[in-house]
Amino acid sequence: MAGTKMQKSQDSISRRRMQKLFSNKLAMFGLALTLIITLLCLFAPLLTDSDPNFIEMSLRYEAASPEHPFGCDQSGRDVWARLLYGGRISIAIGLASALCANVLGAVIGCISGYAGGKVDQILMYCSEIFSCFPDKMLILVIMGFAGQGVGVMMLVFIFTGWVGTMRMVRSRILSLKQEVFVESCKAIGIRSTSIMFRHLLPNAMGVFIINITSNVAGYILSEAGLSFLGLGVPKGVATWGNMLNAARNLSTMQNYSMLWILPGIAISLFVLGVNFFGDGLRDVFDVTQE
Amino acid sequence: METKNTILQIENLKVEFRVGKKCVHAVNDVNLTVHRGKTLGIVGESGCGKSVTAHSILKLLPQNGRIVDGKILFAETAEGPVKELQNMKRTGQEIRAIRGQKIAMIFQDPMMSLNPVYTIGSQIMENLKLHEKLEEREAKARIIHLLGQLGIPEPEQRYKEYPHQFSGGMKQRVMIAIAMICNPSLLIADEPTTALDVTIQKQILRLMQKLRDDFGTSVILITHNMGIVAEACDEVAVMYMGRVVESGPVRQIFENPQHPYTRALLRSVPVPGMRSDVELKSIEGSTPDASIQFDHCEFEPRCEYASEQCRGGFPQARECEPGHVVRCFLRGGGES
Repeated sequence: MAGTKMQKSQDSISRRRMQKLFSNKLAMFGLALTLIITLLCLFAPLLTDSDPNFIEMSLRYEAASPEHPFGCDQSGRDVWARLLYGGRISIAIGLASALCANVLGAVIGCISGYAGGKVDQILMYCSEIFSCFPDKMLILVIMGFAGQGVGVMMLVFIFTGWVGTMRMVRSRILSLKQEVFVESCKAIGIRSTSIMFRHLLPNAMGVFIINITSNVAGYILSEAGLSFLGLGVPKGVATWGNMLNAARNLSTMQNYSMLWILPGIAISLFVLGVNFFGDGLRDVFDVTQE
Repeated sequence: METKNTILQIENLKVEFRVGKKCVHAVNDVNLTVHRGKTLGIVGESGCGKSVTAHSILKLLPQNGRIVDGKILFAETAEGPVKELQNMKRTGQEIRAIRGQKIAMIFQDPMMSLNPVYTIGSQIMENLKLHEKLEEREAKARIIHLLGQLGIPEPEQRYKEYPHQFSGGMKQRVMIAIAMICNPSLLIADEPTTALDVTIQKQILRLMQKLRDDFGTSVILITHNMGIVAEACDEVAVMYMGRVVESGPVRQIFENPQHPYTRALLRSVPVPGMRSDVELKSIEGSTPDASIQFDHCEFEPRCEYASEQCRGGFPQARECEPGHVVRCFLRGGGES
């Protein structure tokens, strides 16, 4: 009995969840895909000597060569370097805005759900107002005033993105705060803020993590989409979306398909990986499955 | 209030709940006294206001409940100043300093009373650190020592484990550990054994008696089980529909019950050696809706001795033996 006890005591909830996640092949494939692409982008300087923004007109539409593994684009910039450095910004935009939006949403949702009453009502009205903005329109308007920029785009993503997480966390907190452990926390004199953020929020972590993964994928696609329309990141900055945008003319599309296929594949693979991983996480955190 | 022997005194406590437009009087004119180092049992059926009374001591009433009238006086030490708890703010600094440190509480359902995402060690540590400044290592040693005292095997190992790795009885021990770690002078146990099976119930009750004797903690034990009262309490208060109908030392209540309700309760408990062909008595009828405002004795509709006098008003509390108080017209509750 002592033996089984000891073994059993080794596993915590998080460890059991990790095991479940690691045994999910699709999720692991997704994680590997995401990690590989992210690492490639992070270590870009080691993988290429070319400057992604260096224009060399003599190398326009240069075919693949040892020096330029995927050739050069219409301005003679190295495609491989642009893919790697561009990925950095695309991923950073996706990850940072998803993180910020979700943290903001979780905090507001937690306060709203725990406080209840008037506070909850006001915060819910706010979230409804925010979710009413069509985000593409908002970007158009804000870009009109503030000019194009990575920061502006991220701000808009965060501005409109927190609502979903807020609602989900709020509803989770609403049911969690009825649990007896909240009362026993109160009974030992723990302050409300501490009950909210240290005791309730970790219990709602599942929703939060799943939302982050789906948002990362979503924002990377949005970035690509907006840049493709010329509304996103300024043209000079290399991102996957901007690379697609640059390849947007008939002759390039027909004759130099690598210029749009490559960034397209990069976006697809990364988003696919993140989504697979997110699905795996959802399975792990879904309480109804335990 | 006399502080030498009394740790907590509740005087004429009245608690109301607002439910929609209705107003439910959950607790009416409750008087209770908890003596130092003694266990007071509060018995009664569901909805009689025993939990509400206990929750109002620590100001843990839900948002729609409030103390309308009465006093809750608490004196931590025999010399100590008397604190009036009834006026403290629900989430204020004052009451939070008392919760967990001076007065601790354990709840009915140990399965749900622990936060599933933290180890039990860190949950006990949280209470300890909240109220006392201690070094990490010292605090940990104290917690492990207490866990051992509470009969948790391999406390050092268990310290690092999560609630889902504990059984119901063990979880209740952990809850007791959380409650006892700061050495509170009063422990409120709200049906601590209801969710446990009978053998574990006995262990937990023994444990609580041991704690009372070892640490000198006074205990308020809320239960609906007369057997538990007989086993674990020194004094008992019987509640019905938000009022204390009879209170006194356990011996007197069991040997010489005065109120018809107490008598009925005692008759409904099986006793070893009783004849197997005799049916256990039950109390006729059911508890009236709590939102009904009575203008006379609440027990009258179900009381077999009810008379015209009982429909005329509320009986007064009367001491029939030293320390044994009863509210009933049959026992001279009419004379004031």
